Order: sequence, then structure tokens, then C-alpha cells
Amino acid sequence: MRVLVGVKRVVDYAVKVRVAADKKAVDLANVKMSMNPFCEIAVEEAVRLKEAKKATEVIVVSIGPKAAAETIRTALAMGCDRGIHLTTDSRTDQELGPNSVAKLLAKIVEEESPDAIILGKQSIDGDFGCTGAMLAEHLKVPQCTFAASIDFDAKTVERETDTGTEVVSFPSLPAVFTADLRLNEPRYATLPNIMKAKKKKIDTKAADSLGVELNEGNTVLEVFEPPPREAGIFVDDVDGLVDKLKNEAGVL
Amino acid sequence: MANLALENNELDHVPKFGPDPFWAFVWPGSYALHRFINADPHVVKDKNVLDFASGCGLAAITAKLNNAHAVSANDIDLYSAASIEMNASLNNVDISTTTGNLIGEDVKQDVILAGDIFYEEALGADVMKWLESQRENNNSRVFIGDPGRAALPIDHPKLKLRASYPLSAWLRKQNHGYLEAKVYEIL
Repeated sequence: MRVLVGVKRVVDYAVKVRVAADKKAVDLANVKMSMNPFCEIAVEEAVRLKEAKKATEVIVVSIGPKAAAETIRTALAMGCDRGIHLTTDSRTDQELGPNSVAKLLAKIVEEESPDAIILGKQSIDGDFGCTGAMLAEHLKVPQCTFAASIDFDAKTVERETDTGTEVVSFPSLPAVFTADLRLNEPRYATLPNIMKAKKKKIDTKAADSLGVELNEGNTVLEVFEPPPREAGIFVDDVDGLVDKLKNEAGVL
Repeated sequence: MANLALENNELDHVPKFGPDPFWAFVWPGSYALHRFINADPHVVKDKNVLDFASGCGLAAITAKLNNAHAVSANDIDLYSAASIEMNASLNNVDISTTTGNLIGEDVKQDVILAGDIFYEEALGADVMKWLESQRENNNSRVFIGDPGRAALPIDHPKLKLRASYPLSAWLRKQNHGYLEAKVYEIL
């Protein structure tokens, strides 16, 4: 089995984002970027498949600016075998949306014909959460989204939903899987692995050279911060609290 | 969850002293060659041995400890050569080091050890051709140590699998994605 993993370079999850002065986007200047956390989980799952000898090769793909090559290197240091980098100048957090990404990934899947495609369930910048589903639709293959465990022998996937854990079966491979938070705990890239990853191959090509129409059909009008929370107040006694709950909050 | 980041040049905290210190740790191919020689010392006994792309010198040192006649360790990195010499003296063995590019040269050795050299397709093809020529011209015995890298032509008709060794937990951690390393001989 060959596995293809998609990874996205996003603003690091620990960064407090700022809105740019023109209110058109989040400011990316001098902001720490890292691999999208759900993509790390997807990479980990693929590398574990390789270690279990179920996968013979793990290919990692990223679509993004030049610096996305660093994200691919991180995935290679985690244990992927080779990388594909589709370069674009569009902002991947809002200009190049999930449908464009799904169409580009579909092209790569056609070229590489992997048996399993594993993505993160969503990116923490655009937060669409639909690239995996759209990719499966473009490829006309089964999709198992928000996977909390994947069993390739039994062909089943556990999905955590609001009402409990669902077990779904997928009829055949190839199929698209998207990783939920509880699928696994990703490993760290250690220094020896980072060095060895520099010797692994990354194919670089321009995203707009694949003959895919990159048009989302929607535009971001404005980006603004949520209103700051108002400060709380102290009440003198229980009567004061009851009074506020009754007359101000209206919950009693 | 955050990965040890390659982003934003965080690795700049690592002191810079020349190229990457790849010679500072054992590569799985060299580890496999080391196990192989220890299990079968007559392969190197009284032989002239070349450890090609020696790294930290593990395979070379193992060959010398198993009574090879003369061992030469080659790596094109000067720091690597220095580390091989230090590791050899720690093990009380004499090993000569060279740093020239041997690919294409006629080295006239009884045994050639090549660990973890098949990490790039172009380089791997050149190395394979050169190792084959050494086998044909000088009847050298050529052993390749490799954990399963993509550029090793495992379907090559002259490549014979000799041994396979599981990697220790520590080596697995330094080589994500690999669980074992193999020794092949060119026939």
C-alpha cells in the first residue's frame, strides 16, 4: 500500500493572531508558522503504517509558498519518504480555498495513484474542514472523515461524533481519510531525523501549472477581531446576585 | 503537539560548526554492517577493507576489531574524517582516513563496505555502478547496509540479501519510519 499525506503550513497554534491594518486578512508578517496540528496527526498515522509494514511508501504533499518546503521537511523528518511541493503565491488561509486545494490534490493523486490519502480533518487557519470530503468527491472514492482510529485490515474507521463513537466501514481502497485529534499522538522530529530529511527528495512544481482552475467563487470581505470581553463585576451578597440574575441577565 | 520546528530558523540555536554533523550518530546501514561483521568475522579477517561513506566510522572500526588487515575509512566530509579518527582511537584501533571522492576510482580493495549511501536517486545510481565495477574488476566483495531507502535498487539481479537486523528503540527514534536494516552483497 502507498500512502499520500497532505500537510498545510499555518500560523502556529500558540500564536495570538492580529488582523492586518486593512482588515482584509490576518497579519502573517514575522509570525511563527508550523505544520497544521491535524496534518501532523495524518503524517503520524502514515508513518505508523509504514512501520507496521502496511505502507511501502509515504508521500507528503503541501500546497503553499516557498516556505511550505520547511513544512514538508518536517514531515520527512517525521518519517515520510519523499515530498511534493506545489508552489503558489495565493494565501492558503483564505485565497486558495478547500475546493481549489482538493482539485490540486486530486491531480497529484492521479499522478501518484496512492491507495490511501490521509489529510487533517481541518486547518486551524481557514477552518473549512471540507478539503478531504471534496477530494473524495473529485476522485469518486470513499471518504472516512474525522477518523479517531483506522483499521485497514477490517476496513473500518471509528468516528467520534456528538452522539458517540460511530464505526463506519469503507468498501475499498483507494479512499480518503481525515484525521481527528484522537487518532494518535504525533512524534517529534529529532535532530538526526531532521538532518536525514534534508537528503530526501522534494519535487517542486507551480500549482498553476497543473491545468486546474483555481477559483473559489467567494471573496473575503472583511476580517475583524471578536469584540473584547467586558470586565466582570463583584456583587456584595447573595441577594445582590439573585437580583442581577433576575433583572439584568433575565435567567431566573 | 507542536513539532520541533524547522520553521522560523529555530535550528539556528544549534551551534554552527561547518556542515551538518551527520557523523555524530550511527546510521542504520552502518549498524547493519557492524552486526553482520560481528556475526561473520571471516568476511574481513586479514583483508584490506574500505568503509565507503563511513560517517562516524562504525563499520570501519568493527572491521578492524575483527582482525581486518588494513582498514581505510572514506567520507568526503573533513569533520567526519576527524570523528572517525577520534572514534578509532577510543577503540584502540588504527584506521586510515581519506576524504576524496572515490566514485569512479579504482580502489583495489578486498572488501568494500557501503552504509546508507542510497538516499538520493542520482547519487545511488552512480554508487551502484561504481560498486559493481569494483566487484567485476578487482573481485572485491561489496557489502551494502541499508534500512530500505527508496534509491536502493533492491530488484537489481546482482543484489543478494545477506542479513536483516531489527533496529534498537534508540536507532528507531533516530530513523523515523525504519524498523530494520539489511545487508546486501553485490554478486
